[in-house]
Amino acid sequence: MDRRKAIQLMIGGAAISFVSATPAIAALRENSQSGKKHLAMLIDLRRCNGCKACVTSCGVENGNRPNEHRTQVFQAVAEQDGKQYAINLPLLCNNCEEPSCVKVCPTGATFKREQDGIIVVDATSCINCHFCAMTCPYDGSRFTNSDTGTIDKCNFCIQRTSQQLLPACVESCPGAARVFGDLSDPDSVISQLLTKHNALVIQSEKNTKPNVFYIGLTQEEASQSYSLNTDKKWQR
Amino acid sequence: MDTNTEAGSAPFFLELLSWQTTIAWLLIASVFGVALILSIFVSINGISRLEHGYSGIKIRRWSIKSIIAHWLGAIPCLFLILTGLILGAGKAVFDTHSDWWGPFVNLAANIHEFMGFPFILGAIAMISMWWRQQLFVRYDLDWFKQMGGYINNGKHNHPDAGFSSGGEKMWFWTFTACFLVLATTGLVLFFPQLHPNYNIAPLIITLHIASAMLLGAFAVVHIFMAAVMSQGAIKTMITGYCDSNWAKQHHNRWFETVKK
Repeated sequence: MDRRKAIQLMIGGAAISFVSATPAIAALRENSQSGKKHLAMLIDLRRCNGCKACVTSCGVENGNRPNEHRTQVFQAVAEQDGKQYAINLPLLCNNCEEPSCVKVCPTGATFKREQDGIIVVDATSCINCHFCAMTCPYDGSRFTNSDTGTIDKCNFCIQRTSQQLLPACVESCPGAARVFGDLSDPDSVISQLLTKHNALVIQSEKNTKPNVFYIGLTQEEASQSYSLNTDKKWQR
Repeated sequence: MDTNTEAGSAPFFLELLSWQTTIAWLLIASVFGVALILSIFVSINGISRLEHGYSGIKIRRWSIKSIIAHWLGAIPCLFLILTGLILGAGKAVFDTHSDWWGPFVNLAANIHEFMGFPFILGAIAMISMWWRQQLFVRYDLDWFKQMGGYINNGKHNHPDAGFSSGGEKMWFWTFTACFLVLATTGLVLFFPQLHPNYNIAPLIITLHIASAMLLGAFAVVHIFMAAVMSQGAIKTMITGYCDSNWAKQHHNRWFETVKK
């Protein structure tokens, strides 16, 4: 192998790894020096068996009705090399870095908190116009809470995480598939895992820069759109 | 599994909508900016007075049906413009974290949604009753060339006008076009069953704001022409009758057809 070819391979290799891990690495770099928290979630799909303990504990913690979910596990049968396998894909609000919901909200009810990057909804000024839900590429992550009549969504269990507790879904996951932490801290478990693994976000081409990363998601699976409201064909 | 990842026009219009402060000030300018320009204009140019005063002879100009349709559309339209300004520009102007903002913007949203329906009824009634007499004719072009005769520079000049002048016809068709866009997008955004998805929603919201901006500006001009600029005009839409001298001055071609 001559030197030129070696360089080409190195460049190629670098390019490939850079592309596939771009969202994670970019996220790590962006906020490392700002002094503010950059909260994010990493979901290791190899550890998820679709038990939906997260869905249940989320509903209990946040007091949502049984049919209204801030998080849901998308379950489907996929095929690879003629072999069928089950896919369990936990979905929630991605608390994006470039959120389309915040851009279109006419009242400023939904905004991104400067101190930690969590996107919240102020129920007192939400007029339930649904602009945020319509323009979100992640269908079903926002819904109208029947009790408040305003938009509800995952806010990384802000009532818990602002007191240094973990979100309910992370706490209750039996396989420890969900990891939660601060990307601004290079020593946090989530930062360490993101540098080690090839984590992807769903629909990166929508350019909202999601803060929910997945280990074990194929490039093809990552480019598709999923809904929290998909009809169940089967359940584990 | 949904394989539809085609984003369509969504990223472009989302980028456009992220210019919130600019959009807010454009909306404010479309109403208050236009009003300010018109006030400056009238303070320099003066209003259009009836050259020969009121004759006292009344001519029927609007039927009761037309008057009802007009105000059924016009009063909700005023509410829609004001509440629409709060919804479209309030975020950039007011402190959205203050205690009063929540109830205030909720009230604006409720009025905006409620007023949409009488406005649609009034507008449909007006458009279906009046569209025939709003078709452009050759002498309307001259009306525009002479700016309706409103810029007088000391000279009195009254270009030909039928039942409606060229300017009124332009307002009518701008209103019709904006109304169709606003009503369609408004209904789609109002009913949850019709809610657009990610691919089309940013376009729908952009269309609603853009046509509101245009309609708002034209509505201010319309109100200004009727209430301030043209002496004796607003009474016509209240009583249904106009003065013969007013008709002669502003709608000479129409006056020819109604005088016996």
